[in-house]
Amino acid sequence: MATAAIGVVILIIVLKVRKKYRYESEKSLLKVIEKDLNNYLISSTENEGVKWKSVHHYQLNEIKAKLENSFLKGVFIRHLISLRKNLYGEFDEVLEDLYELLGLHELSIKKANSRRITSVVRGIHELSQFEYKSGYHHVLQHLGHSSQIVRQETQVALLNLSAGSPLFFLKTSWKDLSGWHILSLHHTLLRTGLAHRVQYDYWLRNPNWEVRAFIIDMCVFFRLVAHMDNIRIHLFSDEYQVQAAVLRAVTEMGDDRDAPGVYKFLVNTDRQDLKILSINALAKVGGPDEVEGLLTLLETDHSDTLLATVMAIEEISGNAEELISNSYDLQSHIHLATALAHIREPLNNS
Amino acid sequence: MEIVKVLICEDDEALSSLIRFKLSRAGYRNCELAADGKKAKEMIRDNEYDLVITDIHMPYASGLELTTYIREELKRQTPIIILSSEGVENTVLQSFNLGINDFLTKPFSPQELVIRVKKLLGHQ
Repeated sequence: MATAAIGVVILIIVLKVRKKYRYESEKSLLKVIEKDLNNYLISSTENEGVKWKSVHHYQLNEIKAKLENSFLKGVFIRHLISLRKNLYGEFDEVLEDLYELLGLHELSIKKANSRRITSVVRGIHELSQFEYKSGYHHVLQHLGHSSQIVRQETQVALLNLSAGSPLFFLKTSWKDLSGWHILSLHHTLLRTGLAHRVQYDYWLRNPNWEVRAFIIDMCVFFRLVAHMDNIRIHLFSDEYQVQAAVLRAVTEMGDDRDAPGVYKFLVNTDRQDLKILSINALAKVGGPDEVEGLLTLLETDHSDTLLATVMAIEEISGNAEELISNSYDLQSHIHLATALAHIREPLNNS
Repeated sequence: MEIVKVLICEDDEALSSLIRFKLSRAGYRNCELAADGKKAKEMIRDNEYDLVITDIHMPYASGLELTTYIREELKRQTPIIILSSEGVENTVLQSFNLGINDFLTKPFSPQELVIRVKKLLGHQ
């Protein structure tokens, strides 16, 4: 027992010392290299000509000489990634060139081909961040990896390195489409400017609902109104997750031609979550006909649906109180009276 | 150009060092660095700066707290530029309401920063 405790204490001390050493090495490397790097970056973007080319060469060799081992190279790569995230314009290209000129891509490829998952993820991430196109096949091999983290990093990297159809991996890797990963893909498409190269109508016919829902959400994200005809047809004949995505699309795109279809869907669906999404959509696209319909739905026992309906009537007509009190006796419909009070005094002020 | 004293408050040392270098190339050689909000407050309290360039998210005190400190507690009108990755409308509006003079969203162009600094200090 005592031996095990001593072992744990020693392990903690070793880890702490190692962490401190790494931190100190990182700091000292950055201090030593800072001037050469800044000189290189600034002069690369400000100056041209033979004189500066030789200065660049000198600075490059200075930096190279200081990157003695793979740990320091790794630190330096992280340093360059951090700069790349914060800067745009000419610096982008200079940082990409520097990554290659210093041979750092070789280390990233080595990591991407490593057996350790953490190294693989890091290697893929680095190749992706510097858009090192020649590393494409070192990344592609991980598309079917057993680890979801590796697969998701691979997908984002393939978007960054893509030369052809940016979302080709959806054919086989749709199961990874969830939560933050979807956001990462959206943002990568936005950053790389590849959104216009996606074949939206093709993917909307994909047999997997995860892909269809993802593509619809993407159309909303990029406000691709032109694809609405192929989106709204999924409202009546698809999985509920896709139907939810269609309703979100209707809400965001705000085309009042969708109002009758959404109302029809509302009165036919049994799912409360889809009912609320439909009502929210009607609040954006509905007109007098939908207000009439919504007034007949106020007998519901579901408080969230009731509140959403009252708010939708108010949003469309601007006169919910009068319309509702003409149709219902508010004395005997206490929930309705409460919902109307919410409209008079919004929740954040109560 | 008269000697201008600039404080750069940024927890990413790679970035703050590059900004300092870029500003020095543009003639602003007297730039000091603060890696967190607490240190920045101390430096501002003890020195008179002609310009403060600050990130929003920093340890101990944010760039917005720093702005409030300069404007409300020290009652100084030192020009302030916020440099932040949080470029959403609410944050930008809040920053201007607190009294900043300019806002740059990350990723940013160092060249653009220099132009804005020159304009703010009346050197252009």
